[in-house]
Amino acid sequence: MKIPFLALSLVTLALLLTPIVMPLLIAFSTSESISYPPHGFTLRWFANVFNYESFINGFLASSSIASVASCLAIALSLPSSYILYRQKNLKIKELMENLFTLPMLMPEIVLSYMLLIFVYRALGVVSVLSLIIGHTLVVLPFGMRVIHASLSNLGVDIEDAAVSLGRDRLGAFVDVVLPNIRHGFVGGSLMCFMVSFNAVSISLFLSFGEAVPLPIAMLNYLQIRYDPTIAALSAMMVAFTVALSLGVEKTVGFVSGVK
Amino acid sequence: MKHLQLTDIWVQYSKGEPVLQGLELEVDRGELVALLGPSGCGKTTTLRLIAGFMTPQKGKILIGGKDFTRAPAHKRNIGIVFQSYALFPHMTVWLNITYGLRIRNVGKEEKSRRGRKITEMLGLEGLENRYPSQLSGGQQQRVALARALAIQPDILLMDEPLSNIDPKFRERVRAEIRKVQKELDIATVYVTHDQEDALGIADRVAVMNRGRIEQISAPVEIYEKPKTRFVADFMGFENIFPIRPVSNSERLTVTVDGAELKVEARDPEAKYVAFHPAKLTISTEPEPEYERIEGKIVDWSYKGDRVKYFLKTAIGEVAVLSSIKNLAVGNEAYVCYRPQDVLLLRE
Repeated sequence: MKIPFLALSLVTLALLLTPIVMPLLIAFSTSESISYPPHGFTLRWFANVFNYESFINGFLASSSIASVASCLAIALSLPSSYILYRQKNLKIKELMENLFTLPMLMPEIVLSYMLLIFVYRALGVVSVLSLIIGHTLVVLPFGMRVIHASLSNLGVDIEDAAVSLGRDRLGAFVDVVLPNIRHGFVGGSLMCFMVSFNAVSISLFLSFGEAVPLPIAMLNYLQIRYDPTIAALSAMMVAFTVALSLGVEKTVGFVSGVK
Repeated sequence: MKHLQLTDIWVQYSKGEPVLQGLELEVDRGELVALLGPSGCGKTTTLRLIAGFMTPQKGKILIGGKDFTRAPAHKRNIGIVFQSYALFPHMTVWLNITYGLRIRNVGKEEKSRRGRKITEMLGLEGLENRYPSQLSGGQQQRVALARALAIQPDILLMDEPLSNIDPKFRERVRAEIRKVQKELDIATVYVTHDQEDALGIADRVAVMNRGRIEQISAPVEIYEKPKTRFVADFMGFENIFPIRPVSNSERLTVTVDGAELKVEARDPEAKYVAFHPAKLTISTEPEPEYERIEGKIVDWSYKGDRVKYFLKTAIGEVAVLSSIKNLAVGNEAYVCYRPQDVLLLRE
């Protein structure tokens, strides 16, 4: 019973990991184009990543957008999560929860297209601002989930206790609620950052020239050249994402974060 | 005038039956009143009203003669011990206990004097620098009590404070709470669904049912002389039968299913008779000083020092707690009672 189960787990793991490990191997290959099996060993493709300006700018654009979007999402999540957490009417609570989760369930490509119409056509925004609006909307449900989970774990009694001891509502929130959901802030921001950093289609639809996020820069590069630089960059992005994930796991844990 | 007065309180959530229907409650200084009832009876709502976490649609809440019905929670000087204790996890025991004093801007010396006094009173010395997560359940409960009492509240509210305490220690914690409460002479409302808890700690017990207080009296009175069917049922009177009174002489008799019972009490509005299983005896011979009902044992359950027998009789199935242990199912026996132990109950 135990051995077949272990074997099955290993096969599944291998299937999941292969597409990630393959580019890692190719990244060190000496051949000029992306080919398999890899030959030799070199670090020049990694160096090449840093020589290509679009990648550097792309990384800076992606991380700036992700940072701003995460901050906005967390700032918007806090009041809405608070209302959700003090809501006693279970029907309204459920409705609100579903409403705030909706963007997460919508296919990203559909959301991107609709945002393109709305942001570009209706609002007439053609700048990095459109990317920020889009990314904020995409990461909002993730921020919401983490902040709401932290508040729920804390319970409402603690705030009521501070109020009964003479503190007004806002003071009680600042004194005893905020300090106890600080892990939620850190974890929520990291998770939002990660989701934003990897949101390809939203960037594809909403970037208008001046700021080109990293995934788009990579696609553009692939259209011109087909060498292992992309593999090296992919390897670095995998490492970056894994580091962020570990950060989320350390602060809030995936289970409480995504629920 | 009583220290805390609730008059004609009505609370109704969006729809359905009101949670509180004309509730009346008075608590004296130094008195501990337990609100006892099943879940949904309105006891927690009553507590939240006094605390100021909600306001009634109708009615008045007076504390020390002043109207506090609509005063915000943080402007009422009320200490609360929550069921979950609700200690602040990021503050040490000392900071938890003195939180209310810091909010009130009590001077440094006065703060540490009052904090130390309450810490000593509850036996928390040496734990001041620990965090709540480093304490046992019992210690957390005492910190919660100390924090509520440190502000010298006008009223102390306790919401099921013993439900998270190991049953073995409950009696001791109950005695501790009682001692501190008497020492500080503070009006206390204690919410519980546990009959033993309420009877063991309160000066008066208020049994609540469907948004009203059905009966409020001293524990002995509530237990021995319940007035309504609901209270009797909640206090463990298993033998409750609907009646039809038949005579109005000195010794009243009532009829249950055509069989007559002798009673001493009188109440023209009574709808039921009740006897507690412990007030009945079982016997195979007629005993001259008791009234009796003939019956046949249909079931029994062993209770350690006593056995509970269930007998089929002319008035219905009767439960009797007896120290006689050698009777078996199918045996004929008498259920013996004294007329003064038969209670008359209203609906």
